Amino acid sequence: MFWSNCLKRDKLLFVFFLVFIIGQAVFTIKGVETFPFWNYGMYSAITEKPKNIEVTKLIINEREFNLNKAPFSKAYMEYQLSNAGKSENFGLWLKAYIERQADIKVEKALRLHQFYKADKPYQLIRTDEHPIYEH
Amino acid sequence: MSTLFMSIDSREHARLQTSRILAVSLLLIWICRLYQGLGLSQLMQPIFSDTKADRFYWLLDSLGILNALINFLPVSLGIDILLFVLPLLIFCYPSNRFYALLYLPTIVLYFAAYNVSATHQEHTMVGTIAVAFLLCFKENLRFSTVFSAVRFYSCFLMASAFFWKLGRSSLWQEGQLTNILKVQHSALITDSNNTLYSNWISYLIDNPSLANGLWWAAALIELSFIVGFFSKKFDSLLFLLFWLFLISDFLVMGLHFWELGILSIFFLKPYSQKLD
Repeated sequence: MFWSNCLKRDKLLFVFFLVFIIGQAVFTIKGVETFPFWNYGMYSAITEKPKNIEVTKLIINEREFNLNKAPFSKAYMEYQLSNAGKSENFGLWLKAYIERQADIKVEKALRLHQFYKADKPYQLIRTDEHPIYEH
Repeated sequence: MSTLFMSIDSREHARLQTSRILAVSLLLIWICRLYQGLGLSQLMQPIFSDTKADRFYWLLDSLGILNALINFLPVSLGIDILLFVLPLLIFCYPSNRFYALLYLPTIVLYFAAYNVSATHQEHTMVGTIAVAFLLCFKENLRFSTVFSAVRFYSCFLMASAFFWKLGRSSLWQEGQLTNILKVQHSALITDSNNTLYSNWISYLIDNPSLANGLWWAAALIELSFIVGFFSKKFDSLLFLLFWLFLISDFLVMGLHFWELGILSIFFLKPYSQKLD
């Protein structure tokens, strides 16, 4: 119904939708995403039981910064923290971002990477400290 | 003859009304993003960028557009202002094509710059791009055709999630949701401060049969959108299921995918029937 109506009403749109569907099919088969052909797996990859539970924490001025209560997007900061070790300039960016968004003077920033046992009781096994910024 | 004129009038009315509802939704989404500090000018020239395997991002990167969007304050501020002002103008002048034609590339550039700086391909803004595309059409028949197409895309978005799970066998994977929850809520479950939410997540992890049930329920919600390809009869139900899915996503996974909710408007019968 939709396709016959579309063909009758507007051939240009018909061709556009057809090309879009072919593009979507190609990129889905290739398994890569390219704008505007996205794949919506929604956690479809098999997730095995983790060997350890890994937790990343942000420590600002010797105190844990609660990302759940941060006045900015928690998800965005988590993406940034996951890359933290890749650039020496990250510390300066983090300082500027936190100072502007959370209105806190940043003297020292650390990223803690903690490993817990995967089953209850979740005991702490190891903590790695990654300095991010120091005044 | 009078019936014909009435039908044209009512379709025009439906188009204008739908355009206004969508423009308000776009504005609300943008205000929420600004509140979360996600405007391009608020990101403070992020250090990292990752174009992933996205050919479109590669193109923008090679042309220096991404760099200008992220690192040149007048450009990023301009995008932020446009994304606020244009939905207002679309709301006030829904018959003027110019504002929508300007909004579409603006939101696409924002989407690309945000995803590249987040180093993560986020899908939450996909609905705004589909809506921006729809708003570019002002002739009633074309508008209603594209409206139907976006509705089909919303069905595809949800239903394809089921088939990805089926194809990758995660649908049958024992303890899939339990394992996901352990990774997703690692900070929450290892924190000694018990909250109502952390207790709920721990309860789910401790009760794999309940977690499995939820995993299957989510998959069934996704699958149910296949009905939307064949009939509009169940659109009210699909509208409710869409929101049930988004709310469950928040309650179980802690994900804020509210922006995607703009696509639920395409299952609202008052609009889809009048536009048909």
